Amino acid sequence: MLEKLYEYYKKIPPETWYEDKNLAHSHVFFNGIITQNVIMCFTEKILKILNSSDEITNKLAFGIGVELSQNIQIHSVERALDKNDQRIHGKGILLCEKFPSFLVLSAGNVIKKETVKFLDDKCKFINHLNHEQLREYYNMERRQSLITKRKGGNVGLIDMAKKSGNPLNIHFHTIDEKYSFFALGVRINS
Amino acid sequence: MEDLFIEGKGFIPKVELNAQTGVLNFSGQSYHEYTDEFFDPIFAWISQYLKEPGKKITVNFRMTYFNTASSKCFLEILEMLKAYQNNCGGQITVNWYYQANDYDMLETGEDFIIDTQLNINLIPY
Repeated sequence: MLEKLYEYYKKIPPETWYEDKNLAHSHVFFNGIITQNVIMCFTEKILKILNSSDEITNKLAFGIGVELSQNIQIHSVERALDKNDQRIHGKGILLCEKFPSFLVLSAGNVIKKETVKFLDDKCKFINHLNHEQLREYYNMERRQSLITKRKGGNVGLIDMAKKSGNPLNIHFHTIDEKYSFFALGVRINS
Repeated sequence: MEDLFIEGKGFIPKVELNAQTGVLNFSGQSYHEYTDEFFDPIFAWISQYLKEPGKKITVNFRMTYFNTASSKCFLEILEMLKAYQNNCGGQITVNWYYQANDYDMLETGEDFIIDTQLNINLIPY
């Protein structure tokens, strides 16, 4: 689905929750400005689709849903003013999909082309670390973020890999000579 | 000095900073989009509170979920308290509460111990 996320991003009407009738499995898309309200709705929909009585799995899915959404809020190149809260947020697409034994949460947003290699390298690096190495890397990067006073924790990708226990799935789609579309998927065993 | 109280709701954690008792409580969920901005008055309060040396302070974290940006802010709070303990004669107790089967929250507490070298009590409930 990551390969098709850009197509959905282009075709789904903005600011709507959307289901594709051609898909057989439970799912929901959101395309548009990622506000705090959207994140709260997205996490509610994740829990509804997941439909699990296991509180820890629910917390895991909830946390990954928040981090994916906030990645778009902070890092998307496309930004827009939300009329309700009068603040500027990142734009992108969110997707929650339920399969028989796992859930997949995905997010996509436009990035500058020069960011592609950095993100590709970072995700590949994260994907070759085991759980203990991810903990160490998380702590190191979080401290670096504190020292350099960067906005946010800057450890969202590490956090999602650490929490899910699965590799980060990524796909880049070239839009033009300046921009690419970054799609990120995280599988959560249920 | 006045207490600082923030009522928790949804993505905002409940924050109770009591200047008289020295008990600082953080509970609930924290995933504000503007996390750094949200924590600014909390940092300002703690910074002011730590100006007088030798205080006995207890910090209770009873978080059910927090995002990575909040994690950085908690680290900053712990670093402020550590510096106060090491340089200003402060007596700091940090309690980290976690749901007994929530290994991620337990690991997070362990990681704060490793990272800050503070003696943090890990307390299951």
